[in-house]
Amino acid sequence: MLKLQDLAVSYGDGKDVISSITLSVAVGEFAIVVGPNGGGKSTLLGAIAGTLRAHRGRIAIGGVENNFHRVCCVFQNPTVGTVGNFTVFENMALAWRRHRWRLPLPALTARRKKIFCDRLAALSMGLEDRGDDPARVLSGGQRQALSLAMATLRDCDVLLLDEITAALDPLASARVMDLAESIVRQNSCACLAVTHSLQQAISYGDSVIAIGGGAMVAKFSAVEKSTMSVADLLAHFEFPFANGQSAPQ
Amino acid sequence: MNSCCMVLQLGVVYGFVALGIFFTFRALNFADMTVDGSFAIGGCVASVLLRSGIPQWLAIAVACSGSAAAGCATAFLHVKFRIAEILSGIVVASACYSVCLRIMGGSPNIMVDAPNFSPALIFTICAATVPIVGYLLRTDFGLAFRCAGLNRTLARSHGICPSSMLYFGLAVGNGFAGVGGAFFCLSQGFCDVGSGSGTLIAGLASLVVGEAIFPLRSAYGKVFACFVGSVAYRAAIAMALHSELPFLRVGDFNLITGGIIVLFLAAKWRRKPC
Repeated sequence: MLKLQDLAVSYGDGKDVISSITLSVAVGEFAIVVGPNGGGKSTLLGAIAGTLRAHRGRIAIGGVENNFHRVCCVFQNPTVGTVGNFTVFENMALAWRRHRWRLPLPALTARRKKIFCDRLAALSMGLEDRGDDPARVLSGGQRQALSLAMATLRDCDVLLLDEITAALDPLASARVMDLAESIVRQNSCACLAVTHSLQQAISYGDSVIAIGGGAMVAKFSAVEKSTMSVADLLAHFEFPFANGQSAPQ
Repeated sequence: MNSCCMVLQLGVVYGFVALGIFFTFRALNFADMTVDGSFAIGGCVASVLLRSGIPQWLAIAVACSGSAAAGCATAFLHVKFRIAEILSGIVVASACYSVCLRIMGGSPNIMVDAPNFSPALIFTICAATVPIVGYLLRTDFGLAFRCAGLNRTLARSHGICPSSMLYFGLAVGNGFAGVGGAFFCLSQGFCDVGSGSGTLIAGLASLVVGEAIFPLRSAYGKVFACFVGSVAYRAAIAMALHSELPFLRVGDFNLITGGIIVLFLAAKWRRKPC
């Protein structure tokens, strides 16, 4: 469970990028975050991941305040979420010891390889036979799927997905989003997924959170968003464009 | 035959330098310029300690620690004061010259009296280093270390501290360079404060040549390639200088080094598909 209360974040220049956000994401809930560029989406994810410090408010992860070790991230660029020079198995081994002691003990034991193979097979992306291939030779979709598998290899309370389909073609995007949704269901973690695709926001997830100007503008439940169209959602993008710009089409 | 042995010995000695550069340039992705200084520190410390009657193994261990301290100083400048990696290495390498002079009591060169020194010690330590370092790079710690250099964002998100790994990597890398420096002085029988000059480029050349000869992916292969590359590089230099070509002189050493690096890098580039 993720709970944010009156969260405010700035980059040290006195100007709040996030001014006051209060929201909660339940265990097993897949919440999609939408909003215009500069609206504070990535800043919000950074604060929840612990890479940015909130100067006001509270972040409770799994009932414990500032428990950032229980947060997993998947980045927008699959080259950031994996190490290209490592094999698929080595990437998985890296994730296996996330936030744990890393001793000079063999990283790729037969037992671990078996676990990694099972996890990779569950992705159905053809990765289970490519354990010894370097991650750099994988396709963008496969590499992003590997990032997802790495992020959720060990238990986590909160999964953050930062525009994970931005660098993928439509087919790979759909495949990765399906995968993300099924992983959230299986792992029973709270998930916040940022996307610029309003169609994805409508099609996937349990709720949609609209963020703009550093504040939460609206939150739509699964029932509410089931009756919404992309145009309805787009209407909530009007507020930040008061200086004469038009909303994105 | 004697020349071949000398080439082999010098190649293995500089193989430690190549291994140090592999740690910093390749594993850690850090352009470390400290090597010229840490090589000299290793040589000076070992020489002075041997002259004062300290056992060889202890002198080499202390020399390694002294060079590792130089690596830590570079990491400190980069991490604490955000000085660019190249500049912090150059600053420390430059400071090492004065440190070496102090260690040697103000004398720019000293004779090293090591009657018990046997080249077998160099080969023994080399034979022990390759499997140990190869194993280390394949462990959980080794993966974290390499990840800290290759992808810092991912490393942080997995609870790895890139700064700590930088300290470790620069200490170990320069420690190996220091071991090379110590062996160099022991085998030559004298130590010069300027012995480190040009070490970085020679080590880098050895690394490039090794990677070209042994383009292996395994950690053991990469470590072994440092030593093989160094021996091959020394052999190429010796052949060039002893070829009795009328236009080559002993002073052309750096020119030949540059040519060898360009040759192997170009060959590597040519092999890649467009």
